[in-house]
Amino acid sequence: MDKEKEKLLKKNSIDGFLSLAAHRAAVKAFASTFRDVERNALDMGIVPLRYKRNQSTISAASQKKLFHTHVAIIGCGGLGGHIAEMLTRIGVGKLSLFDFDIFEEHNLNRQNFSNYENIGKEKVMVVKEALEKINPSIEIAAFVKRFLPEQDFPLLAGVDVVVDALDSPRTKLDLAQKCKENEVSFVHGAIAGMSGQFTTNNTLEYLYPDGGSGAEISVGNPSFSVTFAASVQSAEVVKITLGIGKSLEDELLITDLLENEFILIPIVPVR
Amino acid sequence: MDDMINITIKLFAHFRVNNFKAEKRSYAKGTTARDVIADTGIDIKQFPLGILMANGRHINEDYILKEGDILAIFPKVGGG
Repeated sequence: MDKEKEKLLKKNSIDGFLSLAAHRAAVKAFASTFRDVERNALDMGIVPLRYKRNQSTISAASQKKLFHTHVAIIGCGGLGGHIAEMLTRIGVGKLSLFDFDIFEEHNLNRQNFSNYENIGKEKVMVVKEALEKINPSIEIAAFVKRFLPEQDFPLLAGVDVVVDALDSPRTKLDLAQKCKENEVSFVHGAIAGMSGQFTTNNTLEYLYPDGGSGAEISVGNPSFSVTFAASVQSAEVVKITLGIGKSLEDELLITDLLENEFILIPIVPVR
Repeated sequence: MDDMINITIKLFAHFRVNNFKAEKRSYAKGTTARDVIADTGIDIKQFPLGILMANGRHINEDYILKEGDILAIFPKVGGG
């Protein structure tokens, strides 16, 4: 980084934080991108002010680590759209979004960024645009396609964490398997009605022995089940990336918001 | 009565609709989890079967129940 830029960022930061105005001033002064200025600041241990309220959870060093993390979100419907927003707000630096579908009227009950005006538009394109307005430092790749793990896995080259936001048990099963084979972190989540299930870095054959659909076909998913599940998965992504807390690597978490039941089941590794 | 076992069956989520949450039942020795699932009358056509547990550990439908077992039956969850 050039000395002048370093000097300006240092001068314009307050208590180790860079305000949006100072960030914009640096973009202008050095003809940089917003993303480059964020990278430069984080390299100096200066944190964009947007992340200040996260500091008790995420240190400046952790913020830099998140910036250099690439997460792929497979499926951008209920779970995916909310996970994408949470990871954008926390400062994950690079996101790849996959979904073949367009927004439809029946998505309005739960899918993030869906509204009356964008019905008929491709979900990943709507989500990408919305995320760029929330955090212009994030690099977002949007793929309008149905992700087929066997043939499309090469598109995930360089990805640190794969998030399962799919609605097809068959594809979930195959994606988990490919992640295991390629030693890529994998965060599973699934919902049906007010129930959910979650596990991290595990294959799913014991959950989906035949790959067939579950209760979600009959019951659909209310908004709070979706955002709850998206929160659990987003927290898993951040925890395994930063190596903090306790992730669901040895356990399956089953949740039921109707009865407030939260059950952890130990997973016996397949040998 | 030595040829009978007593177990607790717990149903979860959608399986509870028009059915019980937890119930104690007696079965003949050699009864499998599959037999118990059939006996509960849960509608696995509408809500396909998910994970099964005995005493907090994952089992499959061929598991032969023992005296005092707690059998937990969850519907399959696969939405996103």
